[in-house]
Amino acid sequence: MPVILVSSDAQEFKVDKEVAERSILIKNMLEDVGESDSPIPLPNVTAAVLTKVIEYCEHHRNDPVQVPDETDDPRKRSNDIEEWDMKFMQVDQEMLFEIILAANYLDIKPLLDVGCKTVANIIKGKTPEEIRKAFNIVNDFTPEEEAQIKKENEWAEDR
Amino acid sequence: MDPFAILPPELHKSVVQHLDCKTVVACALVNRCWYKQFGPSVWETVAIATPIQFEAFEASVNSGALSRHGHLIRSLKTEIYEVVEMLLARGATTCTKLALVDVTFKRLRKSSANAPIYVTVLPLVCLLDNNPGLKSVTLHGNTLRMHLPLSQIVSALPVGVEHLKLDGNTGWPMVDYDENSAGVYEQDIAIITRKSSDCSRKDLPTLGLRKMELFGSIQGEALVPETLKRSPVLESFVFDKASLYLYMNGEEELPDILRKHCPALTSLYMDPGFVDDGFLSQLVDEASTQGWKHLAFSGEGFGPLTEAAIMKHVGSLESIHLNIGLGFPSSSIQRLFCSAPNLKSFRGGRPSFVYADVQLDATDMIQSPWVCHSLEELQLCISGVPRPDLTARTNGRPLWGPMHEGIPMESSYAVQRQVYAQLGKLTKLRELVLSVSLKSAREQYGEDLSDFEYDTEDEYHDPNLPQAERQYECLSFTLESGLDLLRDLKDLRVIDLSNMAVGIGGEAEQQWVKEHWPLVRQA
Repeated sequence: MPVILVSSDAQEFKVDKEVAERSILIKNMLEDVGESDSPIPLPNVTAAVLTKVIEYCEHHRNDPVQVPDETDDPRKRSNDIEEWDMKFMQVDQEMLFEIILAANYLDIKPLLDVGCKTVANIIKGKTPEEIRKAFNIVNDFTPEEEAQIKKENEWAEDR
Repeated sequence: MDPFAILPPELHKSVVQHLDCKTVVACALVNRCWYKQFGPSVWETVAIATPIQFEAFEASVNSGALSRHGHLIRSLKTEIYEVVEMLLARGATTCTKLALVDVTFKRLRKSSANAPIYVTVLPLVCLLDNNPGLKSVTLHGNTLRMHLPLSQIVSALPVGVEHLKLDGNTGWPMVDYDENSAGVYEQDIAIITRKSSDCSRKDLPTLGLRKMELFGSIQGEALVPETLKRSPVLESFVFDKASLYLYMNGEEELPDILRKHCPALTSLYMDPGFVDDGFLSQLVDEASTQGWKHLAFSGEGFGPLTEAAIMKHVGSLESIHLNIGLGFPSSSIQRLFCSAPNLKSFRGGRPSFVYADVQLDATDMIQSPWVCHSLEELQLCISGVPRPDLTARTNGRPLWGPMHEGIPMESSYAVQRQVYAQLGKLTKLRELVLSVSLKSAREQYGEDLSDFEYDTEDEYHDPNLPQAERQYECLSFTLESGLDLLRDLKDLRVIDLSNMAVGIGGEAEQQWVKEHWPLVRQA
C-alpha cells in the first residue's frame, strides 16, 4: 500500500511503503498509527529536498540493514561511496546541506553518512584558503593570530 | 555556506571523523569559528615519531603552546623521549588529563655534550604522577632490560591504569653507551635512587590492571610477580619470550601467583621460548581459576602435556591461536572442534610464518561431528584430500604418491563433500582462511607424500613468485566437489585460499560466491 508524504510547502508525494520506511521516523510513525491512509506531514522538508530523498530511498529500497563494523577506520571509509550515491550527491551546496538535514530529521542513517562523507570529501586535502573559498567563508583572524596558530599546530600536520 | 554553521552540532562529529590530521590542522586555520571547532582535536593526540615532527613540536612548545593546550592532550605517543621531558618542563601543570601514554625510551639528542644518550625514568615517573586519569601505559625500549629501574615506573602507575605494556624488543638507543660518560650516567641513577627512596612505599596500592603485556626480555627485579600480586582484576596476560624472566625468578612461582592473585584471569598469550612442555602445561592447568577463554601460543616448548592441559578447558574456550612448532597434531584439532562448543576463533599458523604447520587432516575431520558451531574465525590448513585430478605442480614437475595416483575421482569427491558438510554447519563464520605457510609439512608427512611443494623449492624457487609454497592435497572449491554445501555461511566476509593449488574455480563458482556470500569482497 502506498504512503502519502506531505512536504512543508504542501506538495503530496505518493511512495511505496517499503520506500518510505527507509526513514526510521516514518517507519515508527506508521507502526504507531497502524493501518491508515491519512497523509504524513513532514514540516521540516521542502518538496525539492523530499524529491531527492525519495529518489535515494527508491534506489536503495532493497538494501540490507546496515551492520556497523566497529573495526573499520572511518578515515578510510570516506573513499568508499558507491558510484550511484556519488552522482546523486553532485548537487549544489545548499541542496547538499538540506539533504543532510532532512536525512537527520527523517532518520535515514545511510543517507546521512553519505552526506557527511561528501562534505568531508569537499574539505579533505585543501589548504585553509581553499576551504574558505569552497564554502565562501571570511577569514576573521588577524595576521598575528593566524601565524601563531600555524606555528603552534604545525607539528600535527603529518601524524 | 559554512557547513558547521548550518549543520547542527551533533552532526559535526560525523563529518570530522572522516578527515585526516593534515586536513584537521588546515581546518583550524580557516577562521575563529572553525578554530573553536577543530583546535581541540589537533591537540587531543600528540604523536611524535620523526625528528622533523619533533622540531616542529619543540617550536610550538617553546612558543608556550603547552600552557594553552596541554589540558587538551588525551594521548601521548612518542618515539622520542625528549617529548616526555618537554611535557614535564613546560606543561607540568596543564598536561594532567592524559588517558594514554605510549613512550619509547630513546633520546634524539644528548642532554649535554658529554652526557650519555641513555634516558632516565624520572621524567616519566613524574608524568605518571601528574596524570591520575591514565588508563593505558605502553613503554618501549631495549633499555627496559638493561639500566632502567622499572620498578620505579610500576610503583608510580596510577591505580586506574587498565592496560600496561612493556616492550623490550624495540627502541634501541641511538648512541652506544660509552665509558667516558659513565660518570654522568651514574649521576642520573643517583637522582632516580634519591627520588625513589623519597617516595618508596612498602604497601603499594591495588591496581585496576585488566591487561598486562610483556614483550622481549624484561629484567626488572621482581617486577612481574610484584605487579601481578597487585592486580586482582587482571583478565589478560601476554608474555612473550618468557625465558629470561623465568630463568631469573624461578618459573615454579608463576602459575601459583596467577592463581592466587589474579582470579579474573581468563586470557593468556605466551611465546614460551625455552620453557618446556612441563612448565607450560602446569601454567595452563593451574593458573586460571575461572577456566581459559582465550589462549595463544607461539614458538617452541609446546607439547603433548600442554595440549592435554588445554583440552581440560574446552568448555570455556572462546579463542585459541596456535603459531607453534610441531606439537598440535591433526587428531587433537579434531578433538578440540568436537568438544569446544563456545569456540569463536581458531587460528592455526600464520601466513608466511615458518613454524606454521597446524593442520587438520581431512580423514580426521570427517570422523565425528563438530560442536564448535559458534566459530566466527577459522584459520587452518585442511590437508589430506585425495586429488587424482592434479598431476603436476605449478612449476611443471609431476605430482606422485597415494593422494594423486590410483585413486578414483569419486572418492576424492566423497571426502570433499564430507569436509564441506562439516564446514557448512559453521553458519556464524565471518572469516575462513585455509591458506597457511606449509614449510615444515614435509617433516610431518614424510617423504612419501608430495603434499606440498616444499621439496622442490630450493631447486625451482623463483623469487619473483610471491607464493612459492603450494598445497596440492586441498579442497578443490568447485561446485562439482560440493562447494554448494557452504551456502549457509551467510556472514562470511573473508575467504582466503591463497596457498592452495587452485583458488575458487571457474565462472560458475565465482557467480555462486556472489550469490551466496554477499559480504565477501573478493576471494
